[in-house]
Amino acid sequence: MASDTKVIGEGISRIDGLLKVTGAANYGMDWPIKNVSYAFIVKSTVAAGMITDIDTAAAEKTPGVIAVITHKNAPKAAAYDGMRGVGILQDPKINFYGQNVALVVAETFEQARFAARLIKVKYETAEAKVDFEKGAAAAVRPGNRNDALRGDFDAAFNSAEHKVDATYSTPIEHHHPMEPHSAIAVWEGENLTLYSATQVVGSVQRGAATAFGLKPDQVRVISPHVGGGFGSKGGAWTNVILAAMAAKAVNRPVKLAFTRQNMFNSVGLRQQNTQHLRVAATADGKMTALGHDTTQFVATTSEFAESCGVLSSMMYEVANSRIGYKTTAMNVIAPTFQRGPGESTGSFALESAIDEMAYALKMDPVEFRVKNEPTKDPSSGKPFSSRATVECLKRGAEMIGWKNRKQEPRQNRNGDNLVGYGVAIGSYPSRQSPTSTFLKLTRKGDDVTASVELAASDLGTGTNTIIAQTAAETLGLPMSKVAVKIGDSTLPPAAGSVGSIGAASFCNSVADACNQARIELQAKTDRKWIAAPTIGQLMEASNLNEYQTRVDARPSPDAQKYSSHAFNANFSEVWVNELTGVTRVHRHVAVTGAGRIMNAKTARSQVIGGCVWGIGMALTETSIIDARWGNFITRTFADYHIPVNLDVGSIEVAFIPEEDKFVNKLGIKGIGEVGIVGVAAAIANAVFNATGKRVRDLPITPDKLL
Amino acid sequence: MAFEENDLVTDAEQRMTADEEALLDELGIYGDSRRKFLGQLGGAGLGALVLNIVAEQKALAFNDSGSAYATPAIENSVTVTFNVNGVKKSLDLDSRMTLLDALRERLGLTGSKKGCDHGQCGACTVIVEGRRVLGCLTLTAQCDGRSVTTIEGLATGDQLHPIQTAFIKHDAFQCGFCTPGQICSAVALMQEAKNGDASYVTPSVRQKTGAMQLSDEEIRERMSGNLCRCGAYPNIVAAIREIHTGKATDPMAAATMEVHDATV
Amino acid sequence: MRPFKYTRAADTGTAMLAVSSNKDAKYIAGGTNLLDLMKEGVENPTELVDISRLNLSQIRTTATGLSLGALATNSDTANHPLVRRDYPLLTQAILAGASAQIRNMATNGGNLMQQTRCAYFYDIAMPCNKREMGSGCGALEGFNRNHAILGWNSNCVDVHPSDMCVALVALDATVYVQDSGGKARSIPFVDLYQPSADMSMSDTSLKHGELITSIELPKNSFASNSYYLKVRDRASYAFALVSVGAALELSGGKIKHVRVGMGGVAPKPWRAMEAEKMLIGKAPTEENFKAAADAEMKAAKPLKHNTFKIELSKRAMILALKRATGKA
Repeated sequence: MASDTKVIGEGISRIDGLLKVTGAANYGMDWPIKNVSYAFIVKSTVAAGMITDIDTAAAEKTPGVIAVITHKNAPKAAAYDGMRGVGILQDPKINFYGQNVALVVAETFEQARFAARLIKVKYETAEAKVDFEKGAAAAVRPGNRNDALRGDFDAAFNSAEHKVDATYSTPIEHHHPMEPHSAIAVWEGENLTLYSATQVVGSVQRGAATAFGLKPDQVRVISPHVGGGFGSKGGAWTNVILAAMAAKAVNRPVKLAFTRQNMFNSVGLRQQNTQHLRVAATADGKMTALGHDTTQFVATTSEFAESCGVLSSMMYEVANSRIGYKTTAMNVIAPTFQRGPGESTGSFALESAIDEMAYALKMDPVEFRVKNEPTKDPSSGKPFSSRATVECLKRGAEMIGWKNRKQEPRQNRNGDNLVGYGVAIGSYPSRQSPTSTFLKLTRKGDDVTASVELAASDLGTGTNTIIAQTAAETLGLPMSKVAVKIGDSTLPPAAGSVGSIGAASFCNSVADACNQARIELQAKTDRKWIAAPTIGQLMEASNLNEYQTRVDARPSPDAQKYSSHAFNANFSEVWVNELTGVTRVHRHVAVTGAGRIMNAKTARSQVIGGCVWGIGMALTETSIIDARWGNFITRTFADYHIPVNLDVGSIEVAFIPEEDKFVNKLGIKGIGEVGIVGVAAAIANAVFNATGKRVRDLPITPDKLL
Repeated sequence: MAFEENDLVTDAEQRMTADEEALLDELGIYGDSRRKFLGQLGGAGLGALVLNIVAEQKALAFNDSGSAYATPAIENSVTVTFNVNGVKKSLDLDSRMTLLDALRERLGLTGSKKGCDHGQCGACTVIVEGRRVLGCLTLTAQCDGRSVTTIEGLATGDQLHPIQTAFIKHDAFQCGFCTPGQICSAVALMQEAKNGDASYVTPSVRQKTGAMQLSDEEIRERMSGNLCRCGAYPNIVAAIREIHTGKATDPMAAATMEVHDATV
Repeated sequence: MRPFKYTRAADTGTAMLAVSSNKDAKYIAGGTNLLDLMKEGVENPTELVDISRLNLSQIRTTATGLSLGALATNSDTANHPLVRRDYPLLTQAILAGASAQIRNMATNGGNLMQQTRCAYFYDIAMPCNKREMGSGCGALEGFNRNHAILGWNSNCVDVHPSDMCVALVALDATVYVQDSGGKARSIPFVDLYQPSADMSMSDTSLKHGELITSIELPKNSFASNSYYLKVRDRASYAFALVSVGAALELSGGKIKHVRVGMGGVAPKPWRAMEAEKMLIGKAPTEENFKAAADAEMKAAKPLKHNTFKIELSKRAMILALKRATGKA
């Protein structure tokens, strides 16, 4: 019995897999809703200014059209969050190209789409800030952010023997989950039901409630399956509010999905960054100074930008450092969290510069990193709860065959190709957030089943499966006896699947609930046990056929005493066609120390996914603004190249066994974010090792290697 | 469509409890004989979760009835009679309606997904007359008299298609949104390999031979019309490779990659 | 997408009559480009005449070569045993394009008629002379990394997107068309693309209502020495930055005949005549390939963001020629 239920960590196939391979899993737009109508969005074709006139007459006359909603007639809705509330048709102001300006609701999708084309909008344009290069020249330090200084950076850098001083740039990138953001909105009186895939069930509920002046429990969000998010489904964007607004206006259920083209200016993006890195070291490879100054843009309507310098504060032992930021406001859709926010783009700059330093010193870059490994977190002085960087480097070097790497570039070949190897390290913080769990146990004779319920979400991360594993093992039940209910705002509030907090928050809460049930049941009986009783025996002892309990789990205050992160090392072997400059990641190795791995199979998949994201970042992805209008000229999946199957070579994943007693009770660190961190740098460093060309601006397209 | 018996992934036979049997009966989802079906799942198999989710989905669906797919007033109406997953369907629809929208909005077959609606992602891949095509770039009107197979039609009775089973075993998806398209694409790919069809990475295209044994590189190229943003590509290749070669592999093993450089 | 009347033509005559009699009518076969453009609002036909079931899909040998039915799918064409044996350049070129799903839908005639993928053409909020003469060319002063380096003028700097057509221009194909009056004519492939002075939507010399019935490939001796090379921003399912189709006939250590087509560089499938001239009679060496590539690129005029295409074109041509001659 016990061996059957020791399932935490096992590579168990996803328990929602059957639904996903048969097409039975319902995503946001898949619900059969009676009497539903269809909405289609009209977007602005200027980047700044005011709407002076909207002619909707032709659209309204089109067969099937039920309503055309603009700022002139839209039901009132409050912007509920500065970052994500732009474009809900409340005023004529235009803040960026592609802002929502009208919504057509019709009997069919075809009718709504056609009518949307007939709407004529006139604007009074204002000068738009859409040229990053121009804005960057005049960027300033954000008021809410001081430079982080340690020691005397200027003195140490200026007097150093060996220096790297280089600037790296990363373009705008888009999340592009395969499922475009959508919502089906159904009003029943003053109660609103939203079928809408989200990473954070509670935030969509709160967002919609605030927008329409409702109490949260008047809004129900249903989101059992999420077709990817990567940060972009972290909160409620305008799809949710517009669908609800339209449903209110037409007094019918409304279905609304962003088109793929809409996705470029509707649900955030990763902002463009220029990162100035300055590294100094002694001849024997001890870092003496590290400067990381980022210039990036924010939206005119929000102050968010990713923190690219965060890794530079804590990855290396260096006495003198400075980390600074400058921002410039642009008329674009608001930047938001994107996989490895800050760490992924920041590690490209930091780990490229470290590679440049190691090369300048004629040192092996693995050795250089090991030599500058800190013993405690240099940014806070706190001890690391655990840190596996060196083990990751050693294991990864073995796996990739690092011994085949030559220190000098252009020394390895295969046919037309130059072959190169690169390495980079990275990390991402580990956190637990408050999460409540409701547990219901049902007994029929010896047979006990458990229902575990919390408003968590599973966007492919494996939440359903690891919750079931946690409950099964903690209760001593087989997996098949555990039902998991998530993705519904009527369930107890839970953390979001964001920032790698999901696994730690959900599983610790679920384990707490299961343990609490056992303790409570034990207290109900004075029966003496020879061996530890099963949950069924405990229920039977008190003659209970049903038992339920609820916990509100919180992180331990003791966790604050430590600096807790998942750490990794990425190794890449690239092949670069010497004539055409085409780069392929032939092999890639990712080794991660992320505390307890809850499911070896889904964890491996998540790290592979991070590597594929890193390949996209390194080689293919870029969004381009035409500064004459402020529009994305890369506006479809034909222009914005996310990697395809053939772009991805062999990916090998390993985890360093880690028992972290401090990060949280179960020792979970999270892996979703860290998976991408360092990948692009490892690839770029491998490209240098292959070709001798240091590409400092991503993506590394063939033209940059000619 | 007929599929071969496949026992590669049936090692972890699962047994259902009476409760689960009863629940399945109640839901009427998978027919009578389910053991074999469940046995294919590998690993943990069908837990209460799946049953729960299916039950929940049914409960949550606001007025889940056939009338959810009502026929609205239509301009340029076209009558289309076609075979969808073995069932004859006849629809009066707007000439503009794509096959993807007809499947999703009129027939309730929402497994096929709209990822881009412009032929740039493959999430809407379905099989028409035995060939994989894109539902978003096919007018339903052009399907009159044709036979269409979607993800909902791949399982035979209570038996999953081997590719579906292998996708579960090899964790060939994360969010699952692109998965129906990936699976339809993979099923058709197997037939293309049997036909000896070449791809851009086929080393020599001049001789058309019989059935081809596909390298990983071939599978990658042939699956490149199906984007997966979660990045499950290596696992997708592993799942297809297992069924294509008939050799069971460890889903946790590192992916292999043949040395290859025919491309550029 | 505006409402349209859909009819399925029973025969070519009915189809041509229907389209000829409505200037806003269009043929639809595979629909892979047309429906995409209709959803974007770029194409706005009021009537679609479905020709996909007409009897124009045979691939057969003729006295002078091989005839490819206009309605044969790209997949069936690429994998036809005679195409693979005698015209492997065409097989490779077709298979370099799009995805398996799209090639299963797309027809040969449709491939020839596809529109540029210029982002300014596709976005109806942008200026584009091809969509609306006089609105200007968005790409000329815009983001033109993907645009032409050869054969462009300031009205339009787009590139023709087809891979298949690069092979067809290299292989000296002939296009057969018919009109509703039953008149048939043939057009040498090199003359097919003639952007009209008024920059109408059509790139080709076809008149409204004319229907492509077949494409003929003349016999040649290139089958053992040909290669289609495509350089793109990702490994597959992307349009070319530059592509080169090279086909040679070698005799006594010399190049007896040679054809070089290029994609991604010009508003039409480009025949690299200068390179061919340089290669005839020469030995198939890397130096000679380089000289040929240099010669072809003498006329190249880059735009702001695509200067790299000149060097990339040269290198791609060298590599394609090397691979075609078994030297790489």
